[in-house]
Amino acid sequence: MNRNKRDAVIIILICNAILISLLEMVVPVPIPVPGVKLGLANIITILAIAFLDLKDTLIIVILRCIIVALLSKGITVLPFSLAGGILSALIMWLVYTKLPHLFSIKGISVIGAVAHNTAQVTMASLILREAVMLYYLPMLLIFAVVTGLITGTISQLTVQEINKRGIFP
Amino acid sequence: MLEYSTGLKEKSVKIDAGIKAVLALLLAVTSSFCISHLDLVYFFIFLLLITILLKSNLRFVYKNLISYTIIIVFPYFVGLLLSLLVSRLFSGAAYFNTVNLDTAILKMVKIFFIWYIGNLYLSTTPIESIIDMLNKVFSPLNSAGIPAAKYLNMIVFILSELTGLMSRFKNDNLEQARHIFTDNHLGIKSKSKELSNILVTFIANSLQRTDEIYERVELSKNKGCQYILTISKNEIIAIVISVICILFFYGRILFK
Repeated sequence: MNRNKRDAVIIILICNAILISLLEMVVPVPIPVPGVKLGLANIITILAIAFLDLKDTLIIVILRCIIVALLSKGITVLPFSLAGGILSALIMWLVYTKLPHLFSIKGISVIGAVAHNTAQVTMASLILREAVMLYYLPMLLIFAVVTGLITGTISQLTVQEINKRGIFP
Repeated sequence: MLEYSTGLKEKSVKIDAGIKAVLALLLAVTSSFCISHLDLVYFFIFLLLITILLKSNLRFVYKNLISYTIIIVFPYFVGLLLSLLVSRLFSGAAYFNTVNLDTAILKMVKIFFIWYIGNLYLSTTPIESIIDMLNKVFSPLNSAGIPAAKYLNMIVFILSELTGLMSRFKNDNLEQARHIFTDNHLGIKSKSKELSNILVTFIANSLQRTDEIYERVELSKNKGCQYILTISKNEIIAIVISVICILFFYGRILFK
């Protein structure tokens, strides 16, 4: 696939990630807590890790965060979403490429969700310069395991199905 | 969440995106000049005044307060409560004893002001103008080999794509998912399987459009940068108001 075609795939996947996150309106979160989201857009990050390279995955994550910030008029959420998105993509990519025999897609998704929440709380704590926020992290990590398992299950089924149908160019 | 074309933007007072960005940055820096509670009250009144002048609405203020509470205030106070709990359970508490609540609240309010200014800028400036302005600002990066223009072009393309895709996705996929998750006969595993089927079909169909998207991206590349700095009555008024505000807060520090 040449670079321009790859850019077209990146554009499609970013659109998909933003649209898929709309499904969070109908998919219930098991435990409703302020700030806890399912993170269905993570499915697209996992697909990018499975079918594209690290650079393209990071482009997808960064552009998606910028576009969501522009659309939701919440530019100030950008440092949080970028920190969470980039760290989780990097860690998931490392685990997927270096330790594939140890972790399934579900496991990778859980690791990604944990990394995402850790990065976001650390960013909030750095901005406020208050380490006390880190006490909230263990609670969030419990939810991250649950949401990571849900998105991981859907991602695993999606990756299997895409492989079976030979969809990816 | 997704509102690429809103009525708010059409109602908003038109100010050059570049000048507005510089003024927003200066105001964000000015918020750090607030050193007393009274300063915070003055600054908040000033922000409300700007909100009204820019023809934004009070719903925007509530929306920002709620999102800030969820992202910053709630985790902070839960963290504080948990640290208190830990300090009671184990001797030698790590952080609670060192927390100065008054300073922390002052900091939180200042950060809220920066948060609010950023969101006010974005909600009252058309995205196209912001992208054009950024294209101009980042143009030196292109000659340095960093393809900033290419990524900005991708953002513009995605934004226009989403406008069309949104209603189709809501009518088809979102309705299908809603149907699955309201069906009480299905277990969580079946629901996940059904949802992944929806996603696979959706992703497969979208990837079939790779060639079409590729051709359209190629066509949109020739648009080029269209940003031209404009200074009219609105820009002059905005600059004068901002300078008065900055001088007022700077003066309060100087003569304290």
